[in-house]
This record gives sequence, C-alpha cells and structure tokens, in this order.
Amino acid sequence: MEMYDVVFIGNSLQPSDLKSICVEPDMLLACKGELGNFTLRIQKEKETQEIKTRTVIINLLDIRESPLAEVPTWDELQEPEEPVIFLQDLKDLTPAQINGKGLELARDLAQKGKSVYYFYRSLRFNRRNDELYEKARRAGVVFYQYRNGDLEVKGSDGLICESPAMELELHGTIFLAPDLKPNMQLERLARIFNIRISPEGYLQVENVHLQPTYTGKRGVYALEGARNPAGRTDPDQEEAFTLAEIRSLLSNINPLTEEERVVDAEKCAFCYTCYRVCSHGALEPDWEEDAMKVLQIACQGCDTCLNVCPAGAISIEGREEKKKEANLKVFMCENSAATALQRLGKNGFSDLDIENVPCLGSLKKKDLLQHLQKSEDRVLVLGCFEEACKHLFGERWGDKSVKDIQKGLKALHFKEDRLTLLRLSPRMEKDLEKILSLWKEGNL
Amino acid sequence: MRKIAVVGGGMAGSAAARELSARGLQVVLIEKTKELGGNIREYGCKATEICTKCNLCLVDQILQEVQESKQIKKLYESKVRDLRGQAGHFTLTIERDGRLEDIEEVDQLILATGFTKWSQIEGGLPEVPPGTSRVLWASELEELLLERKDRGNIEDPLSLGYIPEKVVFLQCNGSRSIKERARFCSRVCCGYSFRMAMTLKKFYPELDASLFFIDLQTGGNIQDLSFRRLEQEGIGYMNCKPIKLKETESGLIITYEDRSTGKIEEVQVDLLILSEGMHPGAQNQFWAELCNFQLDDDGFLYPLEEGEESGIFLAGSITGPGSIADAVKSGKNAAYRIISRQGGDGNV
Repeated sequence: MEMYDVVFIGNSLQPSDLKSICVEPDMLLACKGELGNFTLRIQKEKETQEIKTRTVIINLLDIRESPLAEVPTWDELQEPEEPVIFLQDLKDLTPAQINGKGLELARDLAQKGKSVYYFYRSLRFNRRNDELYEKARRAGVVFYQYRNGDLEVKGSDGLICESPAMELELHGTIFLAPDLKPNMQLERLARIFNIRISPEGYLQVENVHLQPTYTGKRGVYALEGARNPAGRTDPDQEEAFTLAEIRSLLSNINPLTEEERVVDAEKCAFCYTCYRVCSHGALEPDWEEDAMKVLQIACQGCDTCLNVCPAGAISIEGREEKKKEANLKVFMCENSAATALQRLGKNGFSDLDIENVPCLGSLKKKDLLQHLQKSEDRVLVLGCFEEACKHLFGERWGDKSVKDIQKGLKALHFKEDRLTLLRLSPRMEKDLEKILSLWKEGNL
Repeated sequence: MRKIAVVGGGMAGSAAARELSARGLQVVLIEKTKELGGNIREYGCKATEICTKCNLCLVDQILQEVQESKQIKKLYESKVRDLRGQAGHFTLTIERDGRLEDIEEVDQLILATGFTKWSQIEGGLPEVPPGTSRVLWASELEELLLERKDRGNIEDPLSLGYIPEKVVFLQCNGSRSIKERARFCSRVCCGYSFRMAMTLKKFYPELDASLFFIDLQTGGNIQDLSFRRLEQEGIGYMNCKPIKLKETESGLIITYEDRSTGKIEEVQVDLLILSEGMHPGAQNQFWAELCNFQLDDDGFLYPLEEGEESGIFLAGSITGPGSIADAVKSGKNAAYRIISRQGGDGNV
C-alpha cells in the first residue's frame, strides 16, 4: 500500500515536496498506528478503504457566525453604502487573525475614498496588524474604542454609542467581526485519534508543552480551526513550523525513550483504562492478542499507564525494581524538581534517597508504600504544578496515588505527613533547597 | 561533518543548537556573555496554585542539554566581527579574550541575537527619583520571582521590604508610541503582567491589582486573555496610559484620564510595575549590512532571500517581538530547515 508523508484532515496546505492527500473529516472512520506508520480507515462512496501515512495534520476551518443574527459579518462585505462601520469585540474579543482581516478591509475601502468607522474594544496585534492599523489610520479610517455596555447596535444600518464622555449616533452599513466556534467534527476527531480536547472544544488543552501545533500525540498536528482562535496569532508561521518539523522527522523517526513498555497479554483485562489515561495516544487494542499494546514511537515514557493498570499488566522490559536505600525517600519529577536540583548546582542532600521519575503519573502506590514500611520512613514527592505537566494529566494520577495512601495512613492512625506531595517548577531551586532541608529535619 | 554556527545563546539559539546536535550535526554556539539563556536567564516562575503558562518550563531542560552536549562547541564572551564567503563555506571572524580568531568552513549560519529591553534604552521614569522601591521594571520583578519564597511562615515572600496593598502595572511602556521609538505592540507584555498580577495576588491575597493598557493582547500561544478573564480574576484595568506620576511619602500618585467619563482621576499605589517593550537588538544594523538583510521600519531584520538560498537563517526576536514559546519554535524551525535540506549527504 502507498505510504503518504502527510494526510490532511480538512484542508490541504499542498506542500509540493511532500506526498500528501486530503481527507474530509466526515469520511474518516478510524485511525490506528503511530508516527511514521498510521493507518486511516475512510469511507468513500459507501466503500471503506485504508490509507497509510507517516503524519497527520488536522486543518479545519472554524464555524463563523455573526454575533447578531440580523447583521452581516465582514466576511460578506461587498460594495457597501457609505459610511461603512466595522465593529469587533461585540461578545468575545476578536482574535488577531480576524482583527487583521477587518483592518485590511477598512484600509482598502478608506483608500478608495470611502468614509469608514472602526469600533473596537481591544485591537489584537500580530506580525501584520501593527502595519495594517497604521495604514488604515493614514487612509482616514476613524477608530473608536468603546467600552462594554456603551454600544447599542440598531439593526444593520446604525448604532448608538453612549458614555458619560460622549454620545454618538451613527447611520451606515455595519459589518461585524465573525464569532468563531469550534468545528463540529473536532470532538469526533479527538475520539478517533485518541487525543485530548479542551473545554472550549479544540484539539489543544492549555499546556505549554503543546506549542505551537502539537496535540499530545506524536505526528498528529492541529492547525487553523482545530486550535483555539485566541492563540492563533501567526498562522503562516505555525504552518511553516509544522511542515518543517514533518520534513525533518521523515528521515529520522525514533522512539523518545530507550526502554520498551510492554503489556502482558495474559494479565491484560482489556479494560481500556490505559487507553483513556494516556495523553499521548500511545496505546491501542491488539485484536490478535486480545490485549492492549504500547506503541513504541508514540510513547513518551511518562509511565502513567503502568500506574493505572488495574491488572498490573504493563511493565518496562529489562528494568529491575529499585531496592530501598534510606529512610528518607524523595521522588522528583524530572521535568520540574529534578531540573531545579540541577540548577541548584550542588547537592548537599546525600543522606536523602533521591530518585528521579519521568512524571508523577508513574508513581505506583506499591512503590510509595515500600518506602513507608518502617516507622521512621518518610516519603517526599516533588512534581510539577497543575496544568504544567509535560504529559498533560500525569500529575493528577500521582496526586491520586499520594492522596489514597494518605487516607490509608490516616485510617490506620499513622501520621499522614509521612508522605508529602509538593509542587514546584524548574525555576524554583531556592524553594527546593528550603523544602529539602526543612523536610529532612521534619519541620516542613 | 558539516558545521553549523549559531550566533546567540538565548532561547532561540539554544533550541536550534539542541535540535541540530540531536541530528548529529556539529554546532558552534557563539554567545557574547558568560552564560546561556539570554534575557530569560533571570526570569522567575509565575505559577499560582496552578501553572499560569508563562512558558519558562520549556527552557531549562534545553539549556541544560546544550550546556552538557559535547557536540555543541560553546564559545562564551565572543562576538562576531566579520563574515565572509557563502553558504557551504562561510568564514566567521570572532573576537574572544581581546583576540580575533577565524571559524572556517561553516556550512550554514543561524542568527539569534535577540532583542533589547526598553529598560536598557531608557533609564526609568523622569518623575520618579532613581532607586525608589515603589517602581520596578518588569525584569526586576522577574528577578524577585526567581527568588520567590513559597514555603513556611514568610512575611515578605518577594523581598519587597513591605506588604503591597495596591499595585499597578503600566503596559505599552516602550511600545505603541513613536516618542518611545516603537510604533508597534510588543505583544508579550499583557501576558506577563497578567501572570505577575496573578502571582502577586497569590502571595498577597488582599492585594488590589490593576493594569493600564492601550489594547489588551492575548496571553501567548495558548492562553486567552480577555476583559472577562481580568474581571473573573479580580484584576482591574484602565484603558489608557497615565498622564502624570508623583512620589509622596505614602506612595505613588498616578494621574490618568478615565476614558468612560472623560474625567481626570488620581490613584495612589504602593507599587508600580513598568512593562518593557521589546526593541530591536543593538546589533541589527550590523547584521543587516554584513548579511545583506533589510531592516524593517521598526528596526527588526527580514531576509531578502530565504535561508535555503543564502545559508543564513533568522530565529527568535531578531525578526520582531515574540514570547519564549515563539523563540523556541523559531529556533527549532531554523534547525529543521537546515536538517531537512541537508538530508544525509555531506555537500551543499
């Protein structure tokens, strides 16, 4: 079967040097595989077929609608009657991209000698908009910054702007900035690709590690309407970045971790817990084995699946269990506390048994308990702040493990503070030093 | 093995160097100071109880990897003085320890020399005597955040010397003004001031915080920032730049025009944070002449031909204001372009 470099879901960017094909989102039925080797099942004229691709770009348009049903948006602007009134930020602040389109249209009309007004609450700038704004002003567009509640639109041909500072009644043809809504297909696509979706309905949750167009699953990118419009400041650059990364990846697709995670098909209960928990879409059903399997290229090594698997069926091949060394055990997430410790430059804590973990999500209750057996044993867990987790939601599972054990300790009338979880960032090395020295003395 | 020279060890340069070295290319990283990190070296975490998406979590692992990489030759306290030759065979002359030396047979070049902070251009506010603890540049507050004390019973978590009750952030400072030599919006300041306001409110829960700005920008690639969000977080705002500042014994008096009423108002604050517009790097003119680039109206660089033609790629804020994430993105982008262009063969 032919192997494509990129499959575009929605609109194609038509990169001439990459072998690509475009698939309508409603044609897509399923996806399996991982970066370098995805298989998409699509329905075409009542027939299903499979296509193979190395990467996927989800590039859908937003749904655009007018914030006021009776007033057209500036997408519909044609030879309007003067004066022409542009109006943005009516419900939500208009994103930079749309703002730029409005400025461009206003500038063009003003340059043709038309009388143009532009009402806004906040102009949003990107690489282009500074210049467009200046040119529009020079061409004679009258800008007015209104405040919430000051403005009343009277149908499509007039508005009243009233504030203690001024009163203005204006008649003309009004064009509104379109409101952008997530494409209805996104939820379905998130399910098909097993990627996380934001509360607003876009294919990127708020997390700095997903910039600019990452979805959490390697090789699946979100562009244009698949991403929250508020964050789309420079679409051209984001497209260029995505294609550049794909071009560079194509010659060299490697796993991110050296060790392999494997599922014991005998133990696997096929409950899909790991499938639902993995933020990187790195697990998929293996129907031949009747068990889940870990996709080695997709796996980013957070080991949350090892923790959540109720059957204990997932393990790391060839890794021996660590033996308990000291009474004071510290688990540090390598993306925050461990980086901070390195920034500290010195390690005056040789009496502590410090172990770096890939993510708080990897912390199994069993491992935590192992270090709490003797009465003088204490465990400190140091991880990332909420929503800063490189593995998106890994920290939640670590937090759950810790809380469950604390509950247990309390029920057995042990001191709960024998197990402590604290959060910090790689830049809080001073705080880390203080935490470690206080905790060592039992004075946290 | 081909050699790529990266000029500037800030975030864009470091991200590019790491990406190139990960793909087996030999990298020479030329940095004018003693350390990597550039402007963000002294920035601090702005998390409250949760992450506020300041992007700093993206940087330290990259910097540490570059620091430790044997494949990346780091030349500190070095400045480029000359560039000769063409793509595939550049010769760079650098000045180090007062001596000039040549780096020969450089295949491709990435320029990532960054921006100049407004505070490095302008000394401060003429109305306020220097050395007052009531006015801080945003970068000075960043340094305090780097030393933030989160744990234990702490009276003064940011070492301000007092508990602030009312703080105001002055946005569009060194931006959006021809007088301030920047007609453009620096775009990142609204986001970082909002985050700083959130962090200050975590440390001082009673704090009354507000922002002066001309227009409110988004908070970065992912985070949205809107009037509604400010209201939800209990952060006030004034849609203007102040008219006058005066320091008294009890605090700073800021005079401004309330745009909704047209009236002149006064507000007294304990602490004023000045945002810092991102201005073109001091060396931009030099690079434009040396590499045949054009300076845009604002003084940022843009190439007359693509890096694929000239062998010189631009990354980070040398081309205009941008966030930490933008710097990482454009650094990686430059590296990707070099990697995919060269593939496996040794000749250009």
